Amino acid sequence: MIFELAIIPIFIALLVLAALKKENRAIKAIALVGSITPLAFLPSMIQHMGSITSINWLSIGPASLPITFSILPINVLLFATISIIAPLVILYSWGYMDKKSEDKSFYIEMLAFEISMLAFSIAGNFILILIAWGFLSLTSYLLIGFYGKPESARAARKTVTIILIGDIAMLTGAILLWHSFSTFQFSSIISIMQSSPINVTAQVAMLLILIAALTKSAQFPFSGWLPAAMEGPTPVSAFLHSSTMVKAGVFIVIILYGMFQAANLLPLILAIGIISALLAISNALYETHIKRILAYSTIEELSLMFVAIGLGAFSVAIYIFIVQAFYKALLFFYSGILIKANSNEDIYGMRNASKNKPMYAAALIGVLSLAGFVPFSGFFSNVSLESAAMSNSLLIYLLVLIIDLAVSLMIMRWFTVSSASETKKTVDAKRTVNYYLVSKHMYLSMYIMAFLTIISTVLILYITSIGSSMVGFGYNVNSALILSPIEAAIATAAVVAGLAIGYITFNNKQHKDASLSILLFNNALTDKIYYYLAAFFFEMSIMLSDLDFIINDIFDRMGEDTSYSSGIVRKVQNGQISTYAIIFAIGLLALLAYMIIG
Amino acid sequence: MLINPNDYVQLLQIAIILLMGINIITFALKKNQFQFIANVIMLAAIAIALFNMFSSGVVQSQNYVYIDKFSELLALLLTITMLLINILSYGAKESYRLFAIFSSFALMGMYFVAFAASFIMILIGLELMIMPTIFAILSSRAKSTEAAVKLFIISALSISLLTFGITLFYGGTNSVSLIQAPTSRVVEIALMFIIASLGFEASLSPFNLWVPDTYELSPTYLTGMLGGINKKVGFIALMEVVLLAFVQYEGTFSLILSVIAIITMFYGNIIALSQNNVKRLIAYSAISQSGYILIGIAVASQYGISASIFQIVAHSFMFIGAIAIVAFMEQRNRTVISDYIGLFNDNKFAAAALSIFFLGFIGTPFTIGFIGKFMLFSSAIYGNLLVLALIGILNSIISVYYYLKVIMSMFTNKERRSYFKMNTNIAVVVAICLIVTIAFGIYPQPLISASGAAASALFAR
Repeated sequence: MIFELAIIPIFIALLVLAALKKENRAIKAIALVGSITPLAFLPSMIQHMGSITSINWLSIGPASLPITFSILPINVLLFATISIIAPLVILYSWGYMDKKSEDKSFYIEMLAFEISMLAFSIAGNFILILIAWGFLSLTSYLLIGFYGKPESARAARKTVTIILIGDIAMLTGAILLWHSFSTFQFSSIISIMQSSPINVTAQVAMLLILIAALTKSAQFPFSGWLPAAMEGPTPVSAFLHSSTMVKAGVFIVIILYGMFQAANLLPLILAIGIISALLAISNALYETHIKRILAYSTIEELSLMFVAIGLGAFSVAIYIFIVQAFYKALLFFYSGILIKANSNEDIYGMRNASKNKPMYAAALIGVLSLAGFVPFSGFFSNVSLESAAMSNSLLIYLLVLIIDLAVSLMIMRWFTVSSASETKKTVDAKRTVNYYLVSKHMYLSMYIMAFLTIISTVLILYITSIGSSMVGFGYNVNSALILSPIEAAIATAAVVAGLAIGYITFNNKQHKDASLSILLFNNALTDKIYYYLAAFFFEMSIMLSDLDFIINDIFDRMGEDTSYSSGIVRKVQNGQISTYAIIFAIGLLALLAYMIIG
Repeated sequence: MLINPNDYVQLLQIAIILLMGINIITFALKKNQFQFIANVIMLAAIAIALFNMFSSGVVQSQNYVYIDKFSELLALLLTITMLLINILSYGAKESYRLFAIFSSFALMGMYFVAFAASFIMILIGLELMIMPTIFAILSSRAKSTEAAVKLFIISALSISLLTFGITLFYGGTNSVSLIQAPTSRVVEIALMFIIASLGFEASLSPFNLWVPDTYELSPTYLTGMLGGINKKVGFIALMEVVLLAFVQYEGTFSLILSVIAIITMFYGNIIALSQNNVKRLIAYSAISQSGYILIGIAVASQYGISASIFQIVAHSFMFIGAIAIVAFMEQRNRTVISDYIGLFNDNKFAAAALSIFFLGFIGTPFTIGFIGKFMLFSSAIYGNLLVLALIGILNSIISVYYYLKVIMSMFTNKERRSYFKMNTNIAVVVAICLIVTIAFGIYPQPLISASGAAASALFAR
């Protein structure tokens, strides 16, 4: 019963249709229908919950390539999230992508992106993960570089370098695991690793897979590519940051939780999560680009998921994983509308958003959810994470609390500054801001998303049972989710403080660089310390993201063309036949020398 | 009328001799069209004969010639790829007649190698292959002299080393047949000389420095022949020699070939990173592909050899396809990567085809290259050469960098659009290579079982 496979032919048919049709309206409709189709598979997936199906794709000599689909509760959750968000993103794109010529390739790429992520979400072994991983990289590369500007080419190149590091790590890790356990299937590897003492090969393999997850989820030290990737269209950002691509890294750590646990890597995951979160939130407080702030906040949220996994709080990680998708998509939808209405991407260039009351209210839902205000989803994730941290150590708890405070401050700054009313009379007459000219499709999808953000909060009631049902499928996890009243009170106080400081400070647009001094009470010494710390982490991070320039520099010197190259290779590959003959002779002599010695 | 399977052998001999005879006559008649049609018909006839021999499982053995599934499959590959190169070169109006006659002689030499049962046949075959190739390069245009001279000098070096190696082999075994040699010092020295000289043919490091220069400066259809056919003949000879004559030395040659494979992969991939000229980039990428193919031979298991044979077939078609697109672009004086920007707007077929060939070189799923690389790397893991497999994977991912550079520039939008029409002969070659690349990527089973049968035939000799 491999009903999941039915998705593939449907999508292929849709892609072909979309490629053939010339009319834009038809393409848009097909894309929407295509993106909504996977929802139809949800009932049968829930019916077959817990099944793991394996089919043999290839079998050559002694080697075979099985593809395994796994329908565990977490797989279904991610599958459902993608297939709910994708149609809304497509609907939003109807309004956002208004150049007719761009339509066709954009929707095809988006659909391909969705298929890759859907395949990823139900993968049960490394083969399917690797295939989906590769196609995710390729499609995201195309979508980020969609506008073809020089900056986007640069951003896409930076992305590809880091993603390639991840690919190498992932492939090598999978092969090492296969070498030690001779299977690709997750459930088998997990049960073997949990029952037998860990060996070094498996530990190295898990470390490599962790590196791959960090590259995809833009964690320290591979975080450089995500802010740069904001050059892409806004619907792409909304999709990429909520339910696809960056979630792939966290998701693989969630489904391989048992292996990371057996390999004793959870403390490392915790440390990396804390460092990335601090780094990302400090960058978010500096930034003024409307989408890049959200990008940094995504990194911070992903880091908190890693922190939850590192603490062993499995249910908390899943909860943050799902609810974050909705409010982050909502905030990206809002920022896309602002960008369209103001023709500007800087938060200080936005005006009069508060005049459009429904939009303002919908955005406020997203902001409060992200900040963690009382009844919204962020509140529950904050409190449960802090409770889990408290039971681990006070230091972790304090760090998480500081991060939560900074998050609420950061998002309030983002929201207040970008929605402030225009008070001065120096408005350029040509640059009128008209929110009524923005397509109604964009508003519609934004309102639906705001509604879903509220609905997603309800998940807190079921998350414990989902977590404990995973135990039945061989996941040796602590599914408990604690919501202690004391942590709730402290968390609320911190969030309210952050929001209040943010609102009071940034309500008038004077304080362009106020972020830093507010956070550190305007003290020259703390200012300096903070500066060096931030600079240190930032350098560490961009060092790796700039690796492609270093590589290119080395090879530019080495190879280039025979006529004007320099370095080692020039001496060898110099076009002189005598050199070639000498190298040939050296090779032969080396062979003979080996024979004599060996 | 039913033909007895063994009659195909007679048919094959007649067809090969006819191919050369007809070429000489039509050359004298100075009729391009005649010669082209005659060539196509004769090559197709040979291919049909070989195909029938393969499916009926003819095994014939004489002193110097041995015909089994191994030689039949590879001879079939050589014939079909030569047919493609013939179609491709038909665009080079004036030099076509000379090329056709030289290539028919070279093909004769290649058959000698594929059907060889003794070192003498391999020696004669390689000599007969390389000399006409050099003449063809030399006669095509003035600029190619450098390419021809480089190829000539290194090939002379290599052939003399091969002769010396064979002499030593004879000294140790009293035979020049491809038979299992006893262990002795002299034979071991012979192995080193033979690996070095065949390393030249198969473009393995460090015997391959002539490759980029010669590939770049030769006329493009001859580049296709050098990389798509001649190089593969080197691998055929290498497989025959090490697995038939030097089985006793499996530990030695396995280690040496592993090291050579690693050097070759890194050399090709790392220098390719900084290339701007697409033809030269493909030349370096072909070098790295030689390294991958060598992995299967270094493993020296039956599965490893079948993986190498599969990848030899795969690379021949992908390489010729990619080179055909380069030829198409060269007709418009476009050679470097920046000339390829916006190719998708100018000619969608060319851009899509070149992307698929490059994705095949990388080893993307659903292309023939993926199956080949999967077989090679898994054979290395099964043969306890895990390091070799991991280095191969590392290299495959490094190579993504330069292939993607070309693919992305083709799909970048540009302001000024112009329509390029593709000549029919190039379009035919590209289409055939494309069909092979995709069809065997989706349904590889026929080719897998064919290469498996060829490998087991080689082991059964």
